[in-house]
Amino acid sequence: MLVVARREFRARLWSRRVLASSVLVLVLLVVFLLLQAFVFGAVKPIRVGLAGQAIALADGLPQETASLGVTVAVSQVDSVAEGVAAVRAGRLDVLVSGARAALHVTVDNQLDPQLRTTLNGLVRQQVLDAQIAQLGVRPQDVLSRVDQAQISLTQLNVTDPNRPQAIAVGVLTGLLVTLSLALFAGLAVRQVAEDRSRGTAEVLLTVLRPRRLLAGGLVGLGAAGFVHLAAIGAIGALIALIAGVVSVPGSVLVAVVGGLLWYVLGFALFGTACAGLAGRATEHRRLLAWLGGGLCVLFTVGTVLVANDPAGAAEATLSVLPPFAPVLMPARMAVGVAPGWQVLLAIALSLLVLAGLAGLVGRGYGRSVLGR
Amino acid sequence: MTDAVLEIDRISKRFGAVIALHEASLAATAGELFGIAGRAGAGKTTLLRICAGVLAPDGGQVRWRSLPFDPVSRAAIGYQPAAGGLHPDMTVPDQLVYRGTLHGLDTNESHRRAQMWLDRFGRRALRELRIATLTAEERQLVALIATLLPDPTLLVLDEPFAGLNRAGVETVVDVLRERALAGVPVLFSSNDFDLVERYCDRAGILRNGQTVAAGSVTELTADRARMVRVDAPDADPDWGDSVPGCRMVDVDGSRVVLELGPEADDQAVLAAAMATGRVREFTLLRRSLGELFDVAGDAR
Repeated sequence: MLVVARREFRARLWSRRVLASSVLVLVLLVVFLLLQAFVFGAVKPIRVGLAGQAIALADGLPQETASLGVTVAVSQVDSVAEGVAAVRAGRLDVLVSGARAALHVTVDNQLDPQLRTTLNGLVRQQVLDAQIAQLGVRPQDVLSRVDQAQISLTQLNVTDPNRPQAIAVGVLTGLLVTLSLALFAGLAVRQVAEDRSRGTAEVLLTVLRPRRLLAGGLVGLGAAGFVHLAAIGAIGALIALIAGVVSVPGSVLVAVVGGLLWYVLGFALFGTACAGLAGRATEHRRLLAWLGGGLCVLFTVGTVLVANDPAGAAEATLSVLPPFAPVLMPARMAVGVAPGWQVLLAIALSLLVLAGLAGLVGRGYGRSVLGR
Repeated sequence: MTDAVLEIDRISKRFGAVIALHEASLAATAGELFGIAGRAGAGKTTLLRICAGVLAPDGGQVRWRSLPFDPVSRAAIGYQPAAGGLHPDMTVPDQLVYRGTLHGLDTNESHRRAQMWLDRFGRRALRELRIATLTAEERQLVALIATLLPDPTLLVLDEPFAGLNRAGVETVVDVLRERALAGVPVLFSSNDFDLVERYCDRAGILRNGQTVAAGSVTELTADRARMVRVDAPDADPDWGDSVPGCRMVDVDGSRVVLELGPEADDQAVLAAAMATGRVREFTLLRRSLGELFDVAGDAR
């Protein structure tokens, strides 16, 4: 059996079809991650020019705006006229000029609301400081007391700020596992069809029992898929971490390990089922279309559920059931919402179904792979 | 047959509603080429698959040296399927070594034997090629080498001469004869009755899954009816039926074909024809094994 597994592994690991698919997936993944890092996910700073007395805001303005989630790039201009010209030319987004208590802002079209709030706050603060000073009190003391006065907060639902990122990692993991299952379970169908037409199954059946022939072929094919998925996962994770797309390395590690675990179980399930069906089918293309369509539906349903409510009851229930588990469970594990007992239950159910499936397929595999 | 090493005893096999074999029986002895002849769909491939242990029969038994096949004796069978059983993505040496290791040989020994057999067939150049790039004849030879490589104790070959030219057939027959002389029974199927008649020691003929005839080729052809074609333009149209022991089976103008019974003498037929006048043609016709098979099949 190992001889057969080794041959299939070597043949599929370097086959053009598999290499081309893996390279394509990897390129798409890398492009997506780089776009996320440098285009979609990148925060474009508001270019603010400071003229005259407003130059005094150069140190404080970035800190104030950052607290509201706005990034600014501050520069000094020599005169208001030069600053206005820069705004007109698009070299600056905002020109701030005038005294701190009466700032004047020039923009080409719209002023960012957060920046407007910040600048208004600075003006008011300046006016307030002056008023407090007239009362003979040190403004710093008053402001210190004011800062200490805060509301007390009770949060009924605590949302992890990293949740959107984790969901994205989960969906991406589910997608990669789905693509790998579609490719390699599809290759299991082809393998059976080729073994039948070339007579290789006949030769092997003289030295192997049908179940061992089935197992040998699937182990070799599955191992080749494992290596490809591991390589894609490792490269993708490395790029995501280096490019800063993902800020929580732990979630990436869980995604890679979970994805590989569920690929193995998923391939065992789908590969065995496909090999069994391929032995009996005459139209292998139709079978491949059904496989691709079925996995596409599973992934779409899973993605919708994961994106909406990864911890929801429907998602949790489906993710432990064998047909859905290989696609949904790695996504939920990556999001971090799959308790250990659910993962173990899903693994146990998958192994149970696999045992039944292997018995069922193995029983008639010898005859079916001969086309009878 | 007491000296048979391979006994196929009343084997039956059904695929759904199709009866592929019905109590087919054959026996092969050590050191002989045994041909299984039959038209397409006669059950040859199913019979060979059962012999090789690829399929299990529904009824009957295949015995090797008087015992049912066990996994050890089955692993010693060299089986070549009609489709060849080769992987197009492999190189010729890799394919041959793979088949050797499947039968328990180590890689070095498999390499050595692969080289030896390629040299034996004069195909050393194939060492550089992939299976996918081979011609049909080269594939057939590589498939045979892959089958011979583990040094099997029984050779079961499904259509091993398909795609070979005359020289290729002669080369393969030489090798198979050599293996047979070394004590290995060689069982092969063919739908070419002439080839079976020409090269086999013994043969079995299948028709609709049943054994129509089996025995030595000499025995099988000895029983065939003798026929003569005579062109006697001056004779009466039914002159042939008046010759003792003869029966007219075909008439084409003045040419008739007569079937001679066991007691009939071809010289008496010639004399009778000459007695009618001119004789333009007198030809002894031999029925081939294929024609015999068809006759025997029709008679069943």
